[in-house]
Amino acid sequence: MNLFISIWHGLRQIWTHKLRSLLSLLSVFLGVASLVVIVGFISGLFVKWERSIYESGGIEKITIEDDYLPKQQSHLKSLSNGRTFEDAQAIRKLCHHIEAVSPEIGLDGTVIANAKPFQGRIQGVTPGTFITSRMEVIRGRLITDKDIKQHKSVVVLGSNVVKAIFPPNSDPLGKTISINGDPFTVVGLLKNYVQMNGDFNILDWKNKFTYIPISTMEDRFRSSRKLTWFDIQVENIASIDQTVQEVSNVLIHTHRGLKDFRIETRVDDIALFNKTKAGFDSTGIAIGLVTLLIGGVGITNLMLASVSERMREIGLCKAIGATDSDIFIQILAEATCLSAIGGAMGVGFGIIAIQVLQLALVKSEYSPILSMSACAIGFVFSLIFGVVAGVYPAIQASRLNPIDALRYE
Amino acid sequence: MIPVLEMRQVKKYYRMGDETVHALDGVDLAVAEGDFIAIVGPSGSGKSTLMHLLGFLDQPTEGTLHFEGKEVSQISSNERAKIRSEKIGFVFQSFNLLPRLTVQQNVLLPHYYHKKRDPGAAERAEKALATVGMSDRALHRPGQLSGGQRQRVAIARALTNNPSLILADEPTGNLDSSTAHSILDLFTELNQQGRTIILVTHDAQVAGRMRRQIHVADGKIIRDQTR
Repeated sequence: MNLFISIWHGLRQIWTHKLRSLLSLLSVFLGVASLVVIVGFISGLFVKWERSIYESGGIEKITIEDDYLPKQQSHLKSLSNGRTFEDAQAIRKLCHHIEAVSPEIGLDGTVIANAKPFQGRIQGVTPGTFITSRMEVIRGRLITDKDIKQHKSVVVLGSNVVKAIFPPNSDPLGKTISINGDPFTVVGLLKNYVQMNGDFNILDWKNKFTYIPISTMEDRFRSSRKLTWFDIQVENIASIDQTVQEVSNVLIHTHRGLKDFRIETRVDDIALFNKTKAGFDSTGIAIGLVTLLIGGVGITNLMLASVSERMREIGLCKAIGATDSDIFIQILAEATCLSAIGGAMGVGFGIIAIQVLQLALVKSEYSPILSMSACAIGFVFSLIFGVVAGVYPAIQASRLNPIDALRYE
Repeated sequence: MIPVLEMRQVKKYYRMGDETVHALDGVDLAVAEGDFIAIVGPSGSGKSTLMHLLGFLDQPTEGTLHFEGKEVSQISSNERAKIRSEKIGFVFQSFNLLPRLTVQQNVLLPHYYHKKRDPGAAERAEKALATVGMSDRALHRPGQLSGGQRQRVAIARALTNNPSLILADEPTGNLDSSTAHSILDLFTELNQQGRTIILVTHDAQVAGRMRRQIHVADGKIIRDQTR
């Protein structure tokens, strides 16, 4: 007897006992559906987290922070100048494997044009910032080294700022705007960053900045030369350790031996990300698999009942020539079909549930994302559990003596 | 001519608790091609055991069994299944049709367990249904048929694989006498077409319709007469 006929017979048998079959595949169905939905929620969270890591510089980003002087240097506190633009220039000149250096001085300020104000962050930057923060202009140009050298009064605007202070359909390029009372010329407009999660744009922070040259910022708005943010982008992840060492050497020199900084990499962040994701994924999958396991027990139970109900039939099949292995395969195929139907229904329901949840949670940052691997794992395990669940009843059935089975009433 | 089936000094013992039951105690029997045999005996006589051995549902404890000239006394359960599938057609007292299959599918059931694909199977099933006069019910389900009709379908099923031997275990036991009569007529007709048929019964009247009667008692053949 070939496998297709076994499966066909299995399906007929399942169809004959629709309600009973449905009840016993319900737990497989729920197991797979819950696996798909739970992993969907987890994927939703982690895809966003991963994207936000990338959009803010990715794994190749090194951050330099102010730090307290170590105890043995604490008496030199008054000599500490903190992080400065000169540090950045020295790093760019002396360190290897550097893609971009991004020193920034920021302050909260008011941008005004057409008598419309926008309250936001004003950042004094160098060209490096646009690389580390992964930002591009849609029109005009970015801040250049020449702007910095010449202390120009030019500004690059984020899309939200433009929307707030310029009327629609007007061209802001070349217009003069006021930043905290000083006039600046608009030279560039940034791309509008959208990564929608329902109605929630997780990249909206990128659209809220106003960028001017760092030297202009120092002149006009800040008495101190201290940097507020200081990031470095390395060329590749392999050179991070070397670059950290080199950056440290340069800073020790420019800070005249004062260890008033600390260098942070995202390697630990990424490790944490991966560890957390693996933890969540395996929890989600484990919950699904436990439910599936319960489903498997239900199927074993159903198949045992079905075998003892069909003693005569099995006896007959053996009398007319079915071998032990024919019967074994037949019962196994039936259990596997049953479980696979439950699994397929579970995947189908899971996909629908995720779409419904995406609609329902459109304004939330917790909306789920469909994970194809969860669907695949769910279905494959429903198949595997079906086979496992069928083995014992199939052995029982194949061992039936045809004489006894035929006599059975 | 080589007999279809030959038993020499066949014994079958069962253990029941501490006791050994001698279900068959030295049976010699030869079934020739075209035989029309009734195995008769009271219950407990060993006729069912004999029938199981003849049908390769079981194997003897002692003695030798030849089928179509080959020694088959101690063969594996798969080999027995193969003989049942290809050479034996069974007819049971309670028909044993599968209720969820159509008449046609029931008749084709033995074919499902063939190891080789047989393109002629559907045609033979049709022919078998025609032989038993059930062609017009091919798409009915057993539940829609009378007892006599069901037994005809069961006989058609026994015929599909063109067996060397048809074994019928009390085939008229669940039928009223006029229906039983027509079923026995059908067996007679099949025998006249050259089929070898062995029928097990406790009913002397039924046995009287067969050409050869074998009486079994206490695990032995006590009389073997041919009309």
